[in-house]
Amino acid sequence: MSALVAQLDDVDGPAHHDGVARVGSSNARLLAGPRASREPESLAAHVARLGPIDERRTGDEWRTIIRESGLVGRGGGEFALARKLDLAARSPGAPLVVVNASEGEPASRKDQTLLRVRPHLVLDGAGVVAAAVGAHRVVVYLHVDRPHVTFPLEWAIEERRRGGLAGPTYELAEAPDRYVAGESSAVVTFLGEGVAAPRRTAVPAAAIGVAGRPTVVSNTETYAHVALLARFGADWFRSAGSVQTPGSTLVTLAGDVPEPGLVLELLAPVEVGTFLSRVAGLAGPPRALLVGGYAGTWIDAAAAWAAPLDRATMRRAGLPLGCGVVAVLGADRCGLAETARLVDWMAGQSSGQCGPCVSGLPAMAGQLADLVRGRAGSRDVARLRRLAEAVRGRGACGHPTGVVALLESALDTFAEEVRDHVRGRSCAARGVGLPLPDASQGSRR
Amino acid sequence: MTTLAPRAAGTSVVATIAVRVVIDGTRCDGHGICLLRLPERISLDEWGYAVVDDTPLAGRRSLARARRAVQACPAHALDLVTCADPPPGPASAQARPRVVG
Repeated sequence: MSALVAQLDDVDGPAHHDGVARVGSSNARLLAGPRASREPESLAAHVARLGPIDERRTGDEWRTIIRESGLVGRGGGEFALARKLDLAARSPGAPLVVVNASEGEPASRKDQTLLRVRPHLVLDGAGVVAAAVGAHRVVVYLHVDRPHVTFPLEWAIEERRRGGLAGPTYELAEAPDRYVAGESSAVVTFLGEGVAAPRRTAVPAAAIGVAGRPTVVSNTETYAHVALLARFGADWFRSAGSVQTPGSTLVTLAGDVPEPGLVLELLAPVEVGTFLSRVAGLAGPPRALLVGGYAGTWIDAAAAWAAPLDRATMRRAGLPLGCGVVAVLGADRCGLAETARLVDWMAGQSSGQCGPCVSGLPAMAGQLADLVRGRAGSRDVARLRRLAEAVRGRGACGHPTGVVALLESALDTFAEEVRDHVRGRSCAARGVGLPLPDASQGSRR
Repeated sequence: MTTLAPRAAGTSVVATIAVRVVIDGTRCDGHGICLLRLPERISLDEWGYAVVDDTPLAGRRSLARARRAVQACPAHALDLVTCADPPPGPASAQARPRVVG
């Protein structure tokens, strides 16, 4: 920690906070470079700022560096990247590298921000991963209708082509704008068969993926980290973050904060309370926090106030940071009403393949909506619990289980609100705090 | 995935390996035939979809019933795997599969 404190001493200006950086902060890593720019950083500026990547290294050397860095995937799975790469490198067939840039989490902005302002960081990292497994092709997987991400990427890929940079070829693949389409087995299925639906497979994609080829699928932020650790080494990478989760971490703020969608880089495991008071100006704990996105976990804000923002610690505490969204629920909101909206939307995002998801999620959404409207009794609350129990762990992907985590943590965190709604008391809710892409896209249209 | 060959392929060998039943939720249509064939491992949820207890099968009779359950499923949703096989899950084999970009 002392090295980190020293590193943070040179922090200057209002945009900096201990252990927290914004785009352009001098203590930033992924977000370092031109400040608060709306423009993507050009290839020339990117190379001038960071220097070249050593192209003489072998795949074995790259995999060793990545293994020593301890980098884990930043899409939520927190799977060691080196293990995927080792598996891909020793599996037969020409490997494929896929950057999962779909960022289907409605409140998350970290991947879009990286691609918008630092596209070459992501492409560099994908190039290193390609070299690490012997791949010649990188596919960036995006949701359709996101020109603010697609344009900078196309531009950056064109820049690299014109600059005659060595490395793999880069191409874009546009997937349906559905939440589940970003699940990594759905990514593989889409690239192989044109259907963005999760599949249950016994063999990891890193061994047998798209068209039977070893396929490395990882999150956008993961590749950006690789671009930096490839230049500055595993020890440098480990000097941020914690021993359990080395490296910095991107977080998106959402909900009742002055700047929803603000992306911040955590350089050290800052306490939740310290973080929120500094970056969102909160004087004390709000009503509750939703951590890890819409398949995440609600927690009473006071209970989480002293928790360190560290992936490994939070996962052990049953509060996984997941995609890195930290959503704030103000005191004048109703957590149950918010959750009902989210569960309804999530039910509509199912790929429709597995019965428990197709039948269970709309049933949960309907029951919860009744509770919010004051039309449910304590028996109906027990029924909600039973529905959650019936759906947990079922299906081919983590979607239904994620919705169960959201629902159950809401029933626990908002127990008081549940009692009030059961008694038919009027709801104290003021509007809604959490964003959805299109409020009409719920399951019960 | 090491799927056990039906019957003929060395039953005696198979019986010594720990084997469990797994389900592909994308295939199960809730016919419910598996419940009749293997009641000790299968139950149905309130919508009729199979819920599988995937702890290792105990004994030769149970294994034989499991094999019949697998063969009887019209949707080919059930499978037998040895316990050495990796747990079924999304292709990424991540600890907690999440739907995130």
